[in-house]
Amino acid sequence: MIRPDFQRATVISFVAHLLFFLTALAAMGFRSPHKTRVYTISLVSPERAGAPAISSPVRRTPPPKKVHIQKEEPPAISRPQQKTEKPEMRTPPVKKDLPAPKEQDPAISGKKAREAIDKLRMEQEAREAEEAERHRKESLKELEEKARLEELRNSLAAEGASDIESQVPEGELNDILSAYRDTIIPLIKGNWVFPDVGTGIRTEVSITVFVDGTVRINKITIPSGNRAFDQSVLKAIIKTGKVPPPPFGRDEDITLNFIPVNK
Amino acid sequence: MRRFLVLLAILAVTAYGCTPRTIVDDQGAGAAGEAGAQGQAQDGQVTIEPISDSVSSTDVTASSGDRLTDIANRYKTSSQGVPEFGDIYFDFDSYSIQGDYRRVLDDLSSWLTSNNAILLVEGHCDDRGTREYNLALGDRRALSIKDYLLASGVPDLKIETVSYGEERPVCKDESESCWTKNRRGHFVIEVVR
Amino acid sequence: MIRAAAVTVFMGLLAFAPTARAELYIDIVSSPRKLPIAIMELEGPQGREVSDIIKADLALSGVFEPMDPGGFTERKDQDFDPGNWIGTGAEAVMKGTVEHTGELVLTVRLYDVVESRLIMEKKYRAGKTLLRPLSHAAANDIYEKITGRKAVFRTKIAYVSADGDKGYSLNVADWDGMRQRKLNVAARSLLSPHWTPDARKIVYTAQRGRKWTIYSLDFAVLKEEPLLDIKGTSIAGDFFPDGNSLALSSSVKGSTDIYVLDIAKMKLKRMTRDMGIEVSPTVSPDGKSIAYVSDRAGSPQIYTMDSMGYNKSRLTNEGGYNTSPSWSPVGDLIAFSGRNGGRNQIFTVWPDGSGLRMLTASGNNEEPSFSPDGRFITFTSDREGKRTVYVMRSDGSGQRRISPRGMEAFSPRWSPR
Repeated sequence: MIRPDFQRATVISFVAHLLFFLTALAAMGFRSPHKTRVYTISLVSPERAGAPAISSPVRRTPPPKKVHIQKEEPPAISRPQQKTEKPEMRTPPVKKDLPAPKEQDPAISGKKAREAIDKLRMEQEAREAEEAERHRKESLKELEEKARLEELRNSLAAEGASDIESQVPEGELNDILSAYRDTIIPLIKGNWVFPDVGTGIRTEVSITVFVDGTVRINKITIPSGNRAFDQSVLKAIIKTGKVPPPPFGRDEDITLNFIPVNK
Repeated sequence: MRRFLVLLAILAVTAYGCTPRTIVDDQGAGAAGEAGAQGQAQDGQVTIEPISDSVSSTDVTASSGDRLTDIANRYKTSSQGVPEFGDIYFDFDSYSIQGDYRRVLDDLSSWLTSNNAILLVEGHCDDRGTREYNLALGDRRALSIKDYLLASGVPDLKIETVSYGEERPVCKDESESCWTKNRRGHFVIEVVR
Repeated sequence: MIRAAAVTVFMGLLAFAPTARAELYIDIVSSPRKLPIAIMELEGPQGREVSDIIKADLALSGVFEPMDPGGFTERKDQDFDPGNWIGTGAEAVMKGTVEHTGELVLTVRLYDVVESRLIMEKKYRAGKTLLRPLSHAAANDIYEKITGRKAVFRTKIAYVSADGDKGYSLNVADWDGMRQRKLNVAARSLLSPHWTPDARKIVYTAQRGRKWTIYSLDFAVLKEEPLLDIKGTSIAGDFFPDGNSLALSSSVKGSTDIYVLDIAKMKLKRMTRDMGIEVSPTVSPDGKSIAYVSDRAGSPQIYTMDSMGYNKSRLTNEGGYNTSPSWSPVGDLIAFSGRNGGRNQIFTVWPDGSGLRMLTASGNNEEPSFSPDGRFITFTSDREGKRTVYVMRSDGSGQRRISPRGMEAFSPRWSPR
């Protein structure tokens, strides 16, 4: 009984991870254009002579963490300049050149300025890459955490369902089971035809009754030693086919013990 | 002779069920016979009922001639001079000798000791039991008779026994009288010349 | 990925963990029913004869209920189609063919209706004259396939017959009374025969001259040979399971006692020393016990002792006359003849003395002997006037005569195989 669930869990987990991985990367690609920020650098300011003043970069609102599937290969982190397809980019396309500085500062120009700008940009990019990486890792962690919690919730829910017994007083529980037993016995017994093979033997069979009332034979847990007698028991179950659905709204494992007696 | 037998039969019927049993250990039988009667116990196992006082070995030794004449008169004699000692009868499922037949056995004993003959004692039963048990019962009846004779002085080598169980009935009715007739000890005497 | 694996393992473990649930355990208790079985006439010459023999065997066993062919829609030459049988109540269907090709070839096919498939197919070959044994062999296999137990349809019953004043003879017949044959043995009187465990010889007691002697007859040679020729009355009892020893009774020492004969060494070992009658030993199937008749208590009763002659114990306590014990080859019952209401009847009792049951009521019934599967008893009955050999199931049902009408027959013994 473990195996199918284990498999299922593995598959779900893998798909979830894959999904997130893809989206994370897509999100990163999604975010690349945001690495271009508009810097307003006033290299010369009448008030502050000598030191270039860099105002904090204007940050656009970070893109929502919505994960969506990108069709194309998301760009690698090391290539921040790659264009993205989305036309609705809120940020302008990356240009090699910085946006033209404000006209008010014609004094800044030349190689030095360019170098400074490049350096700034690279630092910024590095910072952003780092941040992106951090975000990615966090999101992955979050997602995993989410998945784990989801699974835990599910399993606890299942356990919670089995708490029905403990919630119902024991006497009542036994009554419910006895009543169900009493409906099952005549159905199977009525279909059990077997020849005189003596007494002092028995066959024990494990079955599962599903919520829709269908019955599955799991195995003969205790054979009688008389194969023909064992066969008669299996035939009785097969002939019966469907039984009333189990009382607790879930599949029920039942052990049937077949005993021949003299008239 | 026939009247005698009928008398015996009537006696047997009326005496049904009252006789205590004689239990004899077969191994002690021969020795007891030689030693004589009167309830000698051997190995604590042998109990022989005392022979009635009217008969003792002294009778035979003292006046055997008279006795034999007596016997000749009492029984029909065959052409060979052998008396036809009649059958003696037993109770149902019993092998003890009943009092009424002691006289016959005593006569038989007397005759045998004085004559050169071999006695074959046949044991028979009615058919109400099962074949094997009846065969054993017939043996036991024949043995009872033999023991009695041995006790009264007949040498062992003169007596043989055989059982026919329920196999040789004299009658086959399902009646008490027929059954009685079948529960018998029968004597066959062979004279040795 | 490792974390994912860890999570799933954790979840898997959770699923496997014992939960606080009540295990639902249901006993289904029922008594057996006669299995409705459709035995179809076989195709080919004498096909009807074969199926009749098989039908009779299965019906007499008390386990099957052969169905009336009038209700069949499928013909004997048609292929088996479960559709023709579902709803008729038949649990199984037998079909087949008979061929005469110098010898007899019987092909039998057995189908399970519920499973809708062939469950057995077998071919049987034998000489032309062996139609009955061939049919019995097929019936055996059908019985065994469906019940899981061996049948007795090929076993025999030996018994004694009286030929008027000419004496007695030994006879052997099939278990159903058919193919009765007189053996080459005649005597003034004969007692019940006993089979060797391999069923190749029988041993019996014959009265010849003034003795009862035990003889042995080998079926392969059909010549009798004395086995125990001693003074007095020797009566053969049961063989021990290994066939090397024979229990018997003998009056060699005066009163009848139980002995065991080591056949190879021709040595007699005395088992009882009582002053009365000890007779009719029957051996338990494990060879460890002997039941016998003794009158040590004043009337014949059944006793048991171990095979060395120790631990003697009384088995029967009711009734004043109990004889002729026979131990079932499956060990669970001892049958005997007991006097009841002025007549002899067949009783069974468990080896511990409890569970006494009377099985017959009509006429006098004696000398019971079990079939090798312990499910049948053959015995002597005079309910029809003269003695005849009867067979019944060991619960007393199905009593019927198997010796030929008009023959005086008695002292039967069932073969061990």
